[in-house]
Amino acid sequence: MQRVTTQPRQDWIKIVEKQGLIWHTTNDKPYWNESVYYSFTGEESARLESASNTLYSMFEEAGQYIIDNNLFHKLGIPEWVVPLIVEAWDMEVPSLNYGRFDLGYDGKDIKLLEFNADTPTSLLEAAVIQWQWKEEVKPSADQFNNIHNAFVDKFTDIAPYMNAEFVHFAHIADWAGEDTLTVTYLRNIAEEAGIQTIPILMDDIGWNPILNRFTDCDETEIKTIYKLYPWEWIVNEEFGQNVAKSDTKWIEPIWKMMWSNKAILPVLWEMYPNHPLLLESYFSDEHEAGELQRFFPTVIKPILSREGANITIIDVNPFDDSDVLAATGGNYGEEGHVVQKYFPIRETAKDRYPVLGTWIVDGVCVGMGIREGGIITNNTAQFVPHVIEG
Amino acid sequence: MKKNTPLFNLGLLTTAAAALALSGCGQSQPQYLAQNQNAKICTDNNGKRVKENKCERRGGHGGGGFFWMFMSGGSRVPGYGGRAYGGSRYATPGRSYTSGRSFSGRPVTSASSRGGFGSSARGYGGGSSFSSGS
Repeated sequence: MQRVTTQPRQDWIKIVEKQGLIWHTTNDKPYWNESVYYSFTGEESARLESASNTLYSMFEEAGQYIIDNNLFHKLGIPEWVVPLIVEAWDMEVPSLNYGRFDLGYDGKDIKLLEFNADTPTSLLEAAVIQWQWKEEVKPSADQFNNIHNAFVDKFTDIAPYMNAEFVHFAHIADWAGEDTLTVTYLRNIAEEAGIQTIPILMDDIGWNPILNRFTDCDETEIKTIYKLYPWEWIVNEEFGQNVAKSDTKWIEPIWKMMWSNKAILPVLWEMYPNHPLLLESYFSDEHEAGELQRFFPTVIKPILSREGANITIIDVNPFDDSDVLAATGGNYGEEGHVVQKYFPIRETAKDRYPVLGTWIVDGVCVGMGIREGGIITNNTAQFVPHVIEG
Repeated sequence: MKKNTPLFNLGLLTTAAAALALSGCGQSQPQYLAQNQNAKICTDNNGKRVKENKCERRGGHGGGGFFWMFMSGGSRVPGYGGRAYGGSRYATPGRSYTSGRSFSGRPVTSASSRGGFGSSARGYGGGSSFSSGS
């Protein structure tokens, strides 16, 4: 893996906006950064692909393990949600089976940082924008990227099971546009696959208590809905419990709650201790967490935190004197914490630490997108393209 | 992994970019045209149905941000404020279209309550790059 600086295309802003990336700048700093790209060998890319596929099958085992051992309380999942998760898991309800692994890579070891299995973003950047950049700037190189086609195939595959004339696609009204455009991109693909789509804001989803159904603005029943909105928010909101009363099919299904929270990290370590793809992890109240912290730098993560909020990196803690190496603020933490051994991502440039995001669609790894940020990746990280050369 | 990624259809994306303020729900119920019925409704730039008088200005040709949408038999005619799908900006020659006024729909009843989702995003939100995703 090499970091290479390069010239951005002259009209890059206009170009990426036309392709849908209207959130290319954050707080006046570029978010889409095409002054840099990463170059990988074919062998590296194959290793990352294989590692991601292995991790996915480990997550499948972990889902069953959580159900068989009734570990839901450790994941902060409300009791009333548990039967819904078990039913959706057992019935294998229609799903895109997609997500984004965040991996640390130091040139030798590949380590799972976490799995964004419910509402992964940076999709448009990974599937489309970086491909278009490559075709224009590095046309003879390859890229680890079959994401768009994989979504087309998967939507085509599940179209007959949608049980609805229209599939609703829900998101928040985010003025930066990332959620709106990401969902619109998926709607594009669904329509390519022959599915008719209706956009709806999460706030506009209605509940008809007589008919026990979710409705859209026209009082049409919402039979199948894709949402870019996390399950852990839905189940705690006013309409959350109505999910249990209605027949609405949700994409992604509710069982994704088992995978998209950080509590799965200590579960995986318990199932696969010392696995080369895993970082040693425990729940913060476990004895082993304290032992780990005595000898290694660790990262403390709230079970449900997002976009790098409330993360603390602590240096070795032999005598209960902690040395905080880095920390971020936020509103998460009530639900509990995990302690994960710190993995030193290579600093490839000053204050630039790349996190590799490998994309899974239909349970298979189909591409990668890279975000470069500070030592804790948050929403100021920049997306940078990559190529495969050699 | 050199795969041919086709240039996807940008149409929906550019419409979405213009319609970021996709706001709430309309004021009347949708209706369905019979198979031998065709109708024309008036919509704004975002594809939302508005009152016919907005298109009937300017000699009935629309314009000024409002357009006729021609719906054919079997189509779903949205209520006012609702989104139109499956129609065309162009009339089929030889076909006659009933004015949308004949499909003004019953007022939306309060059968459903709304606003029961979305509060968490407002709670954590703010900031130029806030997203519900991760």
